[in-house]
Amino acid sequence: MTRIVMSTALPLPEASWPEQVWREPVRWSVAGIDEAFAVRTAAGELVGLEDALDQPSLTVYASARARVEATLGELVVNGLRHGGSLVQVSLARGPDGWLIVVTDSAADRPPRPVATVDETPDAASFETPSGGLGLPMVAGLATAAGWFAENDSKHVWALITDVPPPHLLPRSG
Amino acid sequence: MTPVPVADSDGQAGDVVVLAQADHTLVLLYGDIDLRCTDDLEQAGRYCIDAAQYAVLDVRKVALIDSVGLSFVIRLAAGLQAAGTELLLRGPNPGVSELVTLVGAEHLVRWEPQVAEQDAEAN
Repeated sequence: MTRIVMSTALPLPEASWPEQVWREPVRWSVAGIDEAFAVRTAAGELVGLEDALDQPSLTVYASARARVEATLGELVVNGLRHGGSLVQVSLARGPDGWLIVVTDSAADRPPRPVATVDETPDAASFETPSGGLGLPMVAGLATAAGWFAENDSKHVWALITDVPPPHLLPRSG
Repeated sequence: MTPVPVADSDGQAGDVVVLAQADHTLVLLYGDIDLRCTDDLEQAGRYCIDAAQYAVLDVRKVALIDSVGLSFVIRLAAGLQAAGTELLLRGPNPGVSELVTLVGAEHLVRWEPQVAEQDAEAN
């Protein structure tokens, strides 16, 4: 039998984003879930417009646009659910990818422990609490990700490089 | 290899449809399956578990799936497995497949043979 269990491991390291030359970011203030999804769509369109490498890929998530949309969406929703009713989002172009930063006001609350799919002898049911897979998704889609607190704010960031992490590339053979 | 089209999301909340079949439950997902669909997903999941039959989850029309949608797939698969039956995914949908693999849940779900393959077998 299988169930989803909560891991005690912190899903993202406490670290600042890589020091690179980032272009002036596009910024959004997000005050609710509907706005979160509108920003997710807008960010994807921005990446699609600017990313010369954005073209049909051999896998869906080899595309930087798909990874930015999914990652930004997860971070923004996490921020709204666990970090307060208003989050700031920025998306900046760097030399080889995109930096997403989501800032909320819960500086004292690091990103939550994550859910993992685990084998156990116990029966599972649909009543298992939902959620918990957002940060594992982020960790898998981003080339690097982390968080840090600064004054009264918490910044959670993800680096989405134009070249995807190897595990997102098609397997040969 | 054939290029995979990027999911064509229209930014609108998706839909969840549950259909009781003679020997299984069919759940159809459309569009963006994300946090906005939480209540519909919860109802669909409970219906499938209560029906105590195998379930087919048709994800062919899913444009985008987030962690809430992914959690639904995994919890439904685990719940049905615990009830002695199983979840079949009806594809193809490379985006869903890639994310299921990304979070390490590919062993939980089984993909139905695709229609083209079924036709080929029939001929």
